[in-house]
Amino acid sequence: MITIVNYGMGNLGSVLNMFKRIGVEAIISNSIRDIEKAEKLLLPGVGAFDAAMELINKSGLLPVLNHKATEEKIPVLGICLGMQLLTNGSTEGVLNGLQWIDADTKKFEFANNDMKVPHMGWNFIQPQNTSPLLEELNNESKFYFVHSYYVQCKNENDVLATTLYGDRFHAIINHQNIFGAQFHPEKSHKYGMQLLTNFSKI
Amino acid sequence: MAIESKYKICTRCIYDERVSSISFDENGVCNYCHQVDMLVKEYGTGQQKGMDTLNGIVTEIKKAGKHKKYDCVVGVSGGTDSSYMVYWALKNGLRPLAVHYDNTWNTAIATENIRKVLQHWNVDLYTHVIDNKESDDIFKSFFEAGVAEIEAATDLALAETMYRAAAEYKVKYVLEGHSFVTEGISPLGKNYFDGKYIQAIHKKYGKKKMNSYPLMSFYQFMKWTVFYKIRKIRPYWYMQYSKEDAMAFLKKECGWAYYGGHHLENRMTAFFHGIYAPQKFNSDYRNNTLSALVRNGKMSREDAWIEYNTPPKIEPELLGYFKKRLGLSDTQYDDKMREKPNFWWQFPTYKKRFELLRPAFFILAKANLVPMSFYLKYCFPVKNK
Repeated sequence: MITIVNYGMGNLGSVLNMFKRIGVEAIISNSIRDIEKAEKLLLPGVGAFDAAMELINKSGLLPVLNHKATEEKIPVLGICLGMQLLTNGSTEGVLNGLQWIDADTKKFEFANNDMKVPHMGWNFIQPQNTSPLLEELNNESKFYFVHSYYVQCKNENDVLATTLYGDRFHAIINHQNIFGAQFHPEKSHKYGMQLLTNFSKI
Repeated sequence: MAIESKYKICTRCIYDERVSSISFDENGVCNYCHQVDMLVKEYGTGQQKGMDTLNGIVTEIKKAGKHKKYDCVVGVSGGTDSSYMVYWALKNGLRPLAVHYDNTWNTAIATENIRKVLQHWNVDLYTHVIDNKESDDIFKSFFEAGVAEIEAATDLALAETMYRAAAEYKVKYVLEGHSFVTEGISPLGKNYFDGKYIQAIHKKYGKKKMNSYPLMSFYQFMKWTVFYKIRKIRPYWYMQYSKEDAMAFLKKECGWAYYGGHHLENRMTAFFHGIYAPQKFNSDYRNNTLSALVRNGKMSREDAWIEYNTPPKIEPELLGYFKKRLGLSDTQYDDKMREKPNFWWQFPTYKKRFELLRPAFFILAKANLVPMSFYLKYCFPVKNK
C-alpha cells in the first residue's frame, strides 16, 4: 500500500485516482500513526517551496517522515514540488529542504526570456541509468510538466533521466530509497501510469 | 482506378492522414485543398481580380523606385521559380537587383543557372557568401542537436540578405518566388525557426564563432519591417503561374538547366529532402509538390501516389559529401540518425516574444510589412506539439 502524504498542499485526489486506475492500493493521510505504518510514501506538491516546507514543519510530520525515509528507508517518491522538497533547498525560498538527496533546486533562467517559463506541457525523458522505476520507459516516453524551478543533483549517479528544455535538467532522480519525478505522473496518461506502477512494485 | 492504401487519403490530392493537422470534409477532401481554394479566392489568383491587384503593386513599386538604380530585389537560387521571377519583373518594366545567399553547398548547375539567367537579361547580382567552415559548423550544430530544421539557417539568411541588399540600395520591395498553387502551404506547428533558435543551437553545439553568417535577430527583423518598411511581395500568389511553362521557357531562352527535382539545386536542401527528413523524421515533403500537381490537373492522383511511394532519387555521392564536409565518420553519422529527434520547442526561440507582440504584428501584417503567414504561424501558441 502507498501512503500519500497530506501535509496540506498538492493535487491529492488526482494522484489517488491514478492509483485506483492501475489497481494499486493507496490512502491519503496526515496522521502520524498512518505514516508510521506506511510501506511506501508518495510526496505530492503544487505551489511554492517555502509554503510547503512550512506546512510540513508545522504539521508535526517531519520527525516521522525523516525516520521512515532515512532510517527505515522505505521507498519514497516525490512528484513535482514534492521532488524539489527532497533536495537541500530551493532558490525559490529560504527554508531548508528535506535534504534526502544531495541536490539543489534552481529557477529556470534563459537569456532574454527566450524560452517560456514555466516549462509547461509534454516533453520527453532521456534515461541515464537503469532503475526499476524506469521499467518499460524509454526516450519515447512523454510526460506532462509544469514547473519554473528544476532540480540539479550534485552526484551524477543520482540522475535517472534528464529532459531537454533549453538545457538538460534532471527530470527523474534517485538516491537509495528516495525517488523524485519533476513531471506530474498523475497527468501523464499511460507513461505516468507506468511510472506509478513501477513505483508500486519497488 | 482507385488508390489502395491503408491510410485515409484526400479524394482530391494525395495528402494522407499522416500529414499534421489534416482533416477531411464529408466528401473526403482535405483542409489543405480547401486552404488553396480559399487563397485562390482571396488573392484572385490567375483571375482579373488578382491581375488588377498585381498591376497596382507593380505601379507602386515603380513609383517608389523612381530615380533609384533598382526598384525591387529578387532572391535567386538557380531554381525555376526564382529564375522566372527575374524575367517576370523585367517583363513588367521593373528594374530588379538579384540577391543570392551562398551557403557554399550549391550544385554547379545552380551556380551556372544563376549566371546564365542574369547574364542573359543583364541583371546585377548582390551575393553574400558565408565562410564555408562556418557554414558547415552551423549545419553540423543542427545535425548534432537532432532537430528537423537543418535548412533554417539558409532560409533565414536569404531573407536577411535580401533585406540588407534592399536597404543598401534604398529599395522598398522584395519579390519572392513562392507559389502556393505549385507548392502548397506547409502545415503549421511541426517546424519552426527564427534567429534566436539558430543562434541558440549554434551556441550550444557549434565550435566556431558566428561571424560571416547574416543572422536575422529580432532587432534586425524589426529594423527592416518597422523602420525601413521593406515590403515582401509574392507575385505568383496573384498571377497565373505554371512551373512547367516557366521551365520550358527558361531552357529555351537562356540555356537554363533542370536539376532533377523541386528544392534539389542545393546539396544541403537535397540532403534534407532526400535523406534527413524521410529517414530521421519520417516526413517526405514530395507530397507538397505532387499534391499541387494533382490539384492543378497536371498529374493524375494515381500517378502521384505511385511516385510518392517510390523512394526519392538520391545522387549517389550526396551522403558521402555530407559526411565529409561535416567531418562525420560513418558510425557517428549512423548513431546520430538513429537517435531520437529533438524539437524546436525544447530550445530558446523568439516564439514567446512574437506571441506577446501579436497585436503589433497584426498591424504589420495588415500593412504587408510582415507576411500574413508569419502572423498566423508565429504569433499564436502551437497546439498538439
